[in-house]
Amino acid sequence: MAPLIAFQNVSKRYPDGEREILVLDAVSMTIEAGVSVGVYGTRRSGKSTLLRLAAGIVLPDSGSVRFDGLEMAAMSAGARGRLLRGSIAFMSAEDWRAHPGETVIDHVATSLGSEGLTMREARRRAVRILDQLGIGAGGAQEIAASLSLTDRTRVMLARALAREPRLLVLDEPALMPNLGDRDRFYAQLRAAARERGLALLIASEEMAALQGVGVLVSIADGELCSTDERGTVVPLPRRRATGAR
Amino acid sequence: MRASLNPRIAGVRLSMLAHLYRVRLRSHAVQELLAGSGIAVGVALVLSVLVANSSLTGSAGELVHEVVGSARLQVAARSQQGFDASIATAARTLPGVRVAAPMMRENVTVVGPRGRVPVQLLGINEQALRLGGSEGHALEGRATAAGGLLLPAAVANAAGIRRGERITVLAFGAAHVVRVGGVLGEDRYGTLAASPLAVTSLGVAQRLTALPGRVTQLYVEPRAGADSRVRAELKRVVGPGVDVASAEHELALLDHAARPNNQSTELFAAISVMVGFLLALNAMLLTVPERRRFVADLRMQGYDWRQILVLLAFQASVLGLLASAAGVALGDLLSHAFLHRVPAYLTTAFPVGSREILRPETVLIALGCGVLATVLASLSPALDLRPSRPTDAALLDREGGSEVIARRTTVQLGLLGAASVALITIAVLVEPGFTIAGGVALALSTLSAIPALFAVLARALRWTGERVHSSALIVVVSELRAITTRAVALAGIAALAVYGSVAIGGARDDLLRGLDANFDEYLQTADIWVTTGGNDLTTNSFHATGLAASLSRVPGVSSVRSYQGGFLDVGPRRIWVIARPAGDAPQFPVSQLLHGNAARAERLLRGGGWATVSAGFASEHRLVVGGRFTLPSPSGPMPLRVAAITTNLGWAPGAVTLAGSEYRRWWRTEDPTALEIRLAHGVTPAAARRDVLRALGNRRGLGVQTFAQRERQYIADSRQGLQALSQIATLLLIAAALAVASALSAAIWQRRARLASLKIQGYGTGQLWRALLLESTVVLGVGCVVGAAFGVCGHALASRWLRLNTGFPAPFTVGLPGVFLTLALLAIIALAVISLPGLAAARSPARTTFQE
Repeated sequence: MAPLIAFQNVSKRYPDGEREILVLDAVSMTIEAGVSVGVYGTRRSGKSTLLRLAAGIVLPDSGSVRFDGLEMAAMSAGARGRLLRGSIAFMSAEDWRAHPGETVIDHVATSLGSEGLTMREARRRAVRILDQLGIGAGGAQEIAASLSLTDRTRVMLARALAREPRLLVLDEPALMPNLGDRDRFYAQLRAAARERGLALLIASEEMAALQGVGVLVSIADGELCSTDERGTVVPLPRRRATGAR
Repeated sequence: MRASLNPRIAGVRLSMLAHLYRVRLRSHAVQELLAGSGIAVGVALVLSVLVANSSLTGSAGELVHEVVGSARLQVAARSQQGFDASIATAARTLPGVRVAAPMMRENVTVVGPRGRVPVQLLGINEQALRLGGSEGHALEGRATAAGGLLLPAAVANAAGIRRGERITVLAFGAAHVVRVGGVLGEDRYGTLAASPLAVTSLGVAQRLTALPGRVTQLYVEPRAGADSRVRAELKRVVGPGVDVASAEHELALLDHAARPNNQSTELFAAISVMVGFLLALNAMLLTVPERRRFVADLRMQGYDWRQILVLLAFQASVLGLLASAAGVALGDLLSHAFLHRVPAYLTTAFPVGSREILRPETVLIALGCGVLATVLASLSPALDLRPSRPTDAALLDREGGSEVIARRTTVQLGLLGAASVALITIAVLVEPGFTIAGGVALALSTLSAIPALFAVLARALRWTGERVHSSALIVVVSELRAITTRAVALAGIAALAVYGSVAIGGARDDLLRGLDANFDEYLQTADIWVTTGGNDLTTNSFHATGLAASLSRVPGVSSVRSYQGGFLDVGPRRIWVIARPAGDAPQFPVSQLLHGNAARAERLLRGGGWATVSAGFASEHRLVVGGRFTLPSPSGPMPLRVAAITTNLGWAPGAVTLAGSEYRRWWRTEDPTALEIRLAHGVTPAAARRDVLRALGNRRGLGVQTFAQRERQYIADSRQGLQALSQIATLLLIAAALAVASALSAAIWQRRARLASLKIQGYGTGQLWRALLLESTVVLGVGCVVGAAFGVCGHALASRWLRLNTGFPAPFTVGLPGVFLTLALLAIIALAVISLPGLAAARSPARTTFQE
């Protein structure tokens, strides 16, 4: 049986003025269904690009990314878009945006509109998922734009889980300042993944965020190093440029 | 909601689309309102221009249908003297003729307590009833029973006349007292009530015009299938001096005469559409970063590209439809208040009513333009849907980097603009018919030149900033370090407004200058003019037996000459025929000469058998100087040769000038349309005019004007004819200035956080306010300079088109004061409007930077 997602010699470059930066360099890895994987790396190490490739948001310059055995680059843009509608959910705390006046329940329900649900049906599903994450009727009626960082992250998780994905990709998901809140969030995340048999791919520059993952990898300068030893610090080589275009 | 009422569109429920738009409206009401206002103004401009255009020919069309009823053929006189009414009797006996209704139509003036109003007198008899169907013909009974005149409500109101009153009617130079039998109200006689037609019985009309036994029209309804036979028979019966044509031929003639006016307003309509589109686009551009992020967020939630497109189109369609509906209402108001003025020069020759015609197709076109512009303008976030773009491109592009126009693109756009100007100029020089399309293309090219000018100006500002102590300048240099699509859009609106005003305003001024010079020369053959008065082209004849002799005895009068003229239908043109006495010098306005020798043409005209013709007429009949042609005179085909080719002398269908003696012979009339009086040396015109009035005694049907008075009347008429254009140009400029101001204000308001961060760096409120005003001036300045430069080019093309296509005199002159006035008006309105929001934004407290 094919792994849920498989990277094979994946490279990705981005333009930087007159030069090109090699962001990912021949990365290979696989994630099986139901397994959680943590990616540890500093800023600009390539971890966000790795996650965006996993979600099919961008395509590799070389190598292959397969989801359920299907080559993502061979899929149409529409088919890759449909993955985001069901199989894969992507979450980044930096991408939070809510319209002024929009309630939490509507914020979650709106994301289900692409499935052809009416607003009433979408709200019903949103209530269910919010309830599972401990956001009751009162919280559901709050204005999304005025939420605290902690509640905001939980609502984002609700939004991601509402579409019942098989792979949840989280890029620096918890930016809340309180360490206790952060720990509670990650515990909730792990529990939700376990209950649903979800595969998790989490990236962070804080090792604390990656506690409890099944597999931990580190990334530096676009290269992936695997380690089973939690808390290991991998020496990070200097960023390389690949010369003029 | 039932599923049938809540269908899926590209997999998204209609109710979900509506919900998403409600969310948008709640959170971005001001931006939506701004965009909607822009669209509404554009649609209003389009609708009002279309209504003004269609009303001119549309009201005449309705009026002609009222008059001709079921008639399909007409016999029309070639002069005001008409033809013998016995032709009607003969026509009625022709096989295949069902009805033959004689009528008399002459220009007269009614005098009421509020003043004089020129009308067309329509005399009808019981035969008109048989043309059937039309309410107008039921009037005959009323007219005959009343024994007087039925006046349309528009005329009665203007002259202050009420039913049953006895009023004076001036016809053929004589004054008659007639009772007003009724006033035709708008409730029952919509078309006629707003028309210039005064209806009476044929007998009364013949008495008033002193033309007993004569008629000017005979409307004929042939039996089914007998049209060709009846037409041939009519031609045989009427002989060579009378026209036989389709009953609605007059509409084709009016269409030809009104064409230059319509084409000019069409050009305005096209520019209005573009301004409306750019207003909408600009308003939308201000919200692009936010909408791109919204779209990216939805895509990350699994909405596919089809669903995003449906969402964008749905939101734009709702906004476009609502805003366009408001625009239609505003446009209707505008056309009522400003634009629906019938050009006076047309009413002398055609029965043009003032009824406004709002057709369903006109409303649909305006609505369609508004919705299309909004949908197109709202699609820019769709660029993120390209397969080559990451799904979350907009989320990553936090600095709006994708809105920055690259240096290479700036250069390419600049070159494209220059190439467009060259190509358009060449295309229009080769084929003047491309002028309107070229004008629109030139307007669009203005946008391509803006980034280049921004780049040059930014460099100049940087250079200045390094040498001049100005904190405001430092801020502006920093803000304008990159050229964004938003700045280009703002400058683009200013450019387009200035382009439209300079191009059309310049062409209009050229036309007025040309007309003024033409009429000055045309009228200077006399110190005093005696005519029937009214807004005429000296085409209304009057009975003047012995009058010239008596006026020549007035002290100070050196000579009195009989001038004749009229309209003559030749093919699709209602030609202005000018027949001057031999003593007139010049015989034609020499400044209007296009081909031929002026002195030789003068000599040939006086000799007879020769005529000057307008360029349009000449090219239609492939005439050159010396060429032979015939005019359909009341005595039959009149052979002539071309002495010279001129402009159209200010009458769109064209003019023919021939010798007075020839006119008298071929038109078989001695009746003048004016008496030209030359005064002895040293006699003041004002004093002589009083003496002439005294000498006319009770001939109240005649008006006496000095050269200066008559010239003023012609100048006023030509300006009134172009009034609609001036008003649209002004409205366009004000609308664009307000749009630029509101868009600049919104852009400034969105930058409060940035301004607050400058405050943390030590900038004061005054410094920031001055910086904002300076930056706005730079944006406006770029737009104005580009618009003015392209506008002068458009002005040259438009003037050339006027000369070549319409035959009007329109010598090209760059009107710098007009250009500067336009620039100043736009800048003052825009800067005045943005100064307050600019000050409010500059006063943002430093903490704002942490709140956004």
